[in-house]
Amino acid sequence: MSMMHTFAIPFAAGVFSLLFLGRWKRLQWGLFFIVSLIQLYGVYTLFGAGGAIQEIPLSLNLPGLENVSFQFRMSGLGYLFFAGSSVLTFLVALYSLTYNDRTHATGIAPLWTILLGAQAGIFFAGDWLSFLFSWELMGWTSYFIIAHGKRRPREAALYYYILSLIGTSTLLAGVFIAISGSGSFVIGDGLSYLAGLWGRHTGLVTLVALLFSIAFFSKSAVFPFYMWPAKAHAEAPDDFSSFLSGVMIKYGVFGMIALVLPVFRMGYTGPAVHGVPLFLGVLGWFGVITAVLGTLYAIPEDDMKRLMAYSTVSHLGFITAALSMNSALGIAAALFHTINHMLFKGGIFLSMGSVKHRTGERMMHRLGGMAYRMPLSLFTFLVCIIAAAGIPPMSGFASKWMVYQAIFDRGLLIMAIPAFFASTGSFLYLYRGLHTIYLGQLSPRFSEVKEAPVTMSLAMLFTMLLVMFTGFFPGLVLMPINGVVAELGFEPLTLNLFMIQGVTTTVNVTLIGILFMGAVFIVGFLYLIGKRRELVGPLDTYTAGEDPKDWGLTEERYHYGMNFYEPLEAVTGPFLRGISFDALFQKIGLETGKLSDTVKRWFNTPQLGTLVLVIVVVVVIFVVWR
Amino acid sequence: MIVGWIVGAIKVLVHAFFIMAVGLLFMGLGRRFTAKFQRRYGPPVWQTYLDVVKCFARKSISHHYIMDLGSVMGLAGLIAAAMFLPVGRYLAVPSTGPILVILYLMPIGYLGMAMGVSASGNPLATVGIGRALTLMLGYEVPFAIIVLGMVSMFDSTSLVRIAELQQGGVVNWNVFTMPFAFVASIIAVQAMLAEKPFDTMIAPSEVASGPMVELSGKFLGLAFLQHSVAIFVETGLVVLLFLGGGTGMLPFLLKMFLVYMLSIAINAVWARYRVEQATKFLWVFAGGLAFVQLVINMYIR
Repeated sequence: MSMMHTFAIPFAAGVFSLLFLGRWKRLQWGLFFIVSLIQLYGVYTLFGAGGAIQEIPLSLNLPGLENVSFQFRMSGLGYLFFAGSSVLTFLVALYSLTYNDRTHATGIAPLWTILLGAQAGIFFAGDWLSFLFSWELMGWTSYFIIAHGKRRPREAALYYYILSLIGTSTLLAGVFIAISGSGSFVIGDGLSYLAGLWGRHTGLVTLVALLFSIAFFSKSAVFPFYMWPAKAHAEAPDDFSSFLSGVMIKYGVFGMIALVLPVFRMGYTGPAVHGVPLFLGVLGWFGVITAVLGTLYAIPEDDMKRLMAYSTVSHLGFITAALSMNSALGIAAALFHTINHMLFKGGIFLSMGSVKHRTGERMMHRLGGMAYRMPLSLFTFLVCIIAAAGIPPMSGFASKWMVYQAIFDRGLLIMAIPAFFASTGSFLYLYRGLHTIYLGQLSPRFSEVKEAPVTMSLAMLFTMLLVMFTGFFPGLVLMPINGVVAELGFEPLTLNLFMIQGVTTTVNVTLIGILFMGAVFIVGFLYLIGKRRELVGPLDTYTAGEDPKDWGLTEERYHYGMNFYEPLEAVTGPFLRGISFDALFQKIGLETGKLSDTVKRWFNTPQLGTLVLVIVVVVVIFVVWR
Repeated sequence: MIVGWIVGAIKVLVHAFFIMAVGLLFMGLGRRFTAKFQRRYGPPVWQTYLDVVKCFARKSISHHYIMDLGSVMGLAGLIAAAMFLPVGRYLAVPSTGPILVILYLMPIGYLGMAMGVSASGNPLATVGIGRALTLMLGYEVPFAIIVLGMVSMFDSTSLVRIAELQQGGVVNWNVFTMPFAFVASIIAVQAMLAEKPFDTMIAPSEVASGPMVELSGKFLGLAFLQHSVAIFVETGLVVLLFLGGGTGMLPFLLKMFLVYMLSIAINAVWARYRVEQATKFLWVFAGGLAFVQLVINMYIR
C-alpha cells in the first residue's frame, strides 16, 4: 500500500457509499469500519518508508500551470500523526458499528470515510496543492458531519465552518505568498524560500507565519478561537465527538509543527526572548492563556460533552505552549501530549457516548450512579481522566511533565504559572464529571440500564489498555517521537522505554507505576486484615438522624450535581464574563449584517439598483481599459 | 535481579510503615500540643495508634465496591508519593526526589479518596470534596510558583539536589535566602494539611466532617493513615526545600516536627475561612509572596 492509496481508497469508498449505499446505513458503517482497517494496514505497510516521494501528474494544461502534479511525501512527522490517528479511528469505527443502531443511526458514515482520506492527504502532502485540497475536503466534510441534518447542530456547525473558512482563507493567502515567491508548488521549497527572507523581508515572513498560525489556531481552537469546540463537539454525533476531539483538532498541531516552526529554525535573525523567537513566545503565551480559559470554562459546565470540549481546548493550549518552545524537548512534549490526548480524550468521549447511548441524557445533573450499572464505562473514564489530569501512572503525566521541562529549558518560568493553574484546575472539572455522571446516587429511572453493547465495550477496553500501556512505558511512544525530533534536525533526547531525562531532573515513569502498584498491594493487605465490611443501600447515609424520605428526598433528588463549584464561580465568573470573545464575534457579525443590509437597500428600488449597477460596470470598464 | 527486587520491595514495605508511624506520632503530639493551647491535658501520645487499630478492628459499612477501591487507592497514592521523598539522605527507592512527581502523585491519593466518598452517595461528602478541590486550586498554584523559584535559582527540581545545595551551615538554608517563598510555603502547607484557617472541607459544624462523613471502621482507619502520610510528605517538602534537608534521619524528623508544630499552633488559634475566601487569600498572599520571590530569583540569576 502506498501513500496515495491511503488517500484514494477512503475517498473512493466514501463517494461510493454516498452515492449507492444511502439506503443501507448498516452497510455504510461496515464499509467505514473496513476502510479504517485498511488505514491501519497502511500504517503497517508504510512503516519505515521514510523520505519516500510519490508523484501523481495531473493532466492540466492551463497557461502558467504546466506540469502540475500532486505530490505525496513521507515524513516521520506525518507518519506519526497518521499512525496515531489511524489507531484511534479504528477504535472509534469499532465503537460506531454498534453505536449506530436503529435509534441512534446517523447518515454521516460516507462523509466520515471521505474525511479519513482527507486526513491522510493532510499528513502526507508534499505540495501546497494537495495540502490545500485535503484541508478543504476535511473542512466541508466535517461541517456536514457536525450538522448531520439537525437544527441545533447546524448552528454549531455553521459557527465551526465560519471559523474554518477564516482559517482556510488565511492559509490560502499564506500559500500564495510562498508559491509566488519560490515559484514552486513543493512545500519544502516554499518553506526554505520563506526562511531565506529573514533579515531582508522580516515583515513578510512574519506575516506568512501569522496567516498560517491563524489557520491552524482556528482549527486547533487556540485563543482567540477557543469557543467553537464547546459548540461543535457538543452537538456532533457522539461517536464523531471522540474523533473530533481526539484526531481532528490535532491537524492544527500538525500544521504548526510542519509548516510554521521550520521557518523559525532556519536562519532566524529576529528578536528573541531566552532563545525563543518573539513571535513564537507570543504564541506560547496564547497557548497557556488557552489552557487557563479552557479550564475556567470547563469548571462550571453542566453539559458533559461541552465540559470535555473545553477540556480539549485546555489541553491544546498545553500543546501549543510546548511546541512554541521550538526545541527538541518542546516538540517532543507537544507530539507526546498530542498522541496521549488522542487516546485519553478519545476514551473519555467513548465512555460518555456509551452513557448517552444508554440513557439519552447529556446534562450531568440528571445522571448519577452510572458506575453501578456500567462498570467498564466507569473504568475507562477513570483511567482516562487520571491520564487527562496528568497524574501518574497513566499516560498524561509523562507528557505534561515534559511540557513543563520544555518551558523550564527555555527559562520562561512565568509562563509555567498559568500552565500549573490549568493543570490543577483540570482536577476540578474531571472529578466533577466522575462524580456527577458515574458516582453518587443512581436514579431509579436508570436502574435497569445495561453496560454498552459488545463492540462499544471492546473499543473502550482497548482504549483504556492503550492509555495504561503508554502510561507505564512512555518509551513506546516517545522512542518513535525521538526519531521524528531527530529527523526535524534536533539533537535527540536522552530516554529509553522507562525513563526520560529532562533539564531539571530525570524521571523513571515505569518506577512510579510499579511503586504505585506496590503501594496498592500494601494498602490492599491492610484493607483485607481489617474487619469485614457490610454493604448497605445508597440512601442509607448519615443524615444527622433524619429520614430522607420524610423530606421527600428520592435518590434522584439526593444526588448532588448542580452548582458544584459555586464558590469558585463567584470568584472567576466576573473575569470570564469580562473577556468573552463570543460577544466580540457577535458584535462583528452584527456590524457585518448592518453593512450588508445597507448594500441590500440600494437594490430595493429598480432605479437605484440600475444606477449602482451602471456605476460599477463603468468603473470596472474604466479600470480594465486603463 | 530477583533478589534485588525482593529487597527493594521489603525496603518499600518497611518505609511505608515507618512513614505511617511517624505521621501518627506527629498527630498524637499535635493533639497534646493543641490541648496545651486550650489548657487541657489532652489524650496520650499513643492514642492515635490505638485509634487506628480500633478502627481496623470494628465493623464498617460500605455502599459499593468502588468505595472500597477508592479508599485503597487514596492511601496507596500518598504512599507512592512518599517513596520519592528523601528522608534525610535515605530513599527507599533510588531516585532524585523529583518534586513534580510528588506534586502529581499526591492527587491520585486525593482522587481515590474523592472517588470512594462519592460512591457513598452522601451529598455532604461531595460538598466536602468540592471544597477540597477548590482549595487545592488555591494552594497548588502558590506551591508551583515556589517550585519555579527553585528552578530559577538552582535549575533543578530534584529534592536531593536542592537539599545538597543548602549544606554547609544554617545561612545556606533557603529559609534565609528565599524568605518570601518560605512564608508562602508555610501558608500553602497550612492549606495542604487542611488545618485552620483552611479546614473548610472537613468543617464539622457545616458539612459533618465532609469527606469523612460516611467513613466507618477500616475506611476511617485508612483515611487516618492517609492523613498521617500527607503530614509526612508535606512537612518533609518544606524541610527539604527551605530548611536544608537533613544529614541524618533524626535532625530531619525534628525539623519536620517543628514545621508541623508551627502549623498546629496556627490551627489552634485561628478561625475558619469560607472556601472562596481561602482560595483568594492563597492566591493573593501565598501566590503573591512566591511570585515576588520568583521575580527576585530571576533577577539575581
